[in-house]
Amino acid sequence: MATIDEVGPAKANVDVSRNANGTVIVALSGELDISNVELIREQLGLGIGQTLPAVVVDVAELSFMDSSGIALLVQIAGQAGQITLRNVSPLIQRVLTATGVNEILPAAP
Amino acid sequence: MIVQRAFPRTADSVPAARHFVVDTVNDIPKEIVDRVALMVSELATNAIRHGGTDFEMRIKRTNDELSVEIEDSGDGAPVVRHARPRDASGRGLHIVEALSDAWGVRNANRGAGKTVWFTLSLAPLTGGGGNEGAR
Repeated sequence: MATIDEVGPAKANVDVSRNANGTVIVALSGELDISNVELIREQLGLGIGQTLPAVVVDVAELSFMDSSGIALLVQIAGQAGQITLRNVSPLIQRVLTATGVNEILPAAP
Repeated sequence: MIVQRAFPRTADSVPAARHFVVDTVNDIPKEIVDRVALMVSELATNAIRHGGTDFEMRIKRTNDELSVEIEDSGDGAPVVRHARPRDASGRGLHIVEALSDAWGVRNANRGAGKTVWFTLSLAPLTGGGGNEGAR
């Protein structure tokens, strides 16, 4: 994690690709919180009312996410025909389950 | 050990507070550090969204317990909202409730302001002797 002497928003990145089946792969990395979630939302280019086909959100390289990040995932889920989370850490899975969000964000094994 | 630090009311204070607490308690098991980081992020987010002015974080540590407090000057009591799965927000305190051993809210003695706190046990879960977790 960054040291405390660094100021500014958390650092995160999003990489969007599409596989041969047309599934959209959203790979998130870094730390996602209220300080940078709007930036990532813009980079995703999720317009209001836009619908997506099947989406896989890969969080293997996401070292931190709080409820601001969960809200982004919920928004993606609302605009995707089908959504799967991949490489979810035990802590994030625990939080998704505790908040009931796992009902709409199924995790792939 | 008690460490405290004030943070301005900006979104950038959320990662700053999180990194500060992680650096302060970096010798405890990572599983606990990860929970602490997440709960601090939630409480700091609430403080900058609803808290009014700057907020202050206090980290208290004994051999067997870690407690973290975040004090802000905003009025209004925090409420645990059990958000429905598709709701856009309202999960912060629910997460603190789920991940802490205990948590609560203290109102300021006078005027506006409140302190939201949580504690986590640092005692080893197994072993009985209690020394396995000592460092």
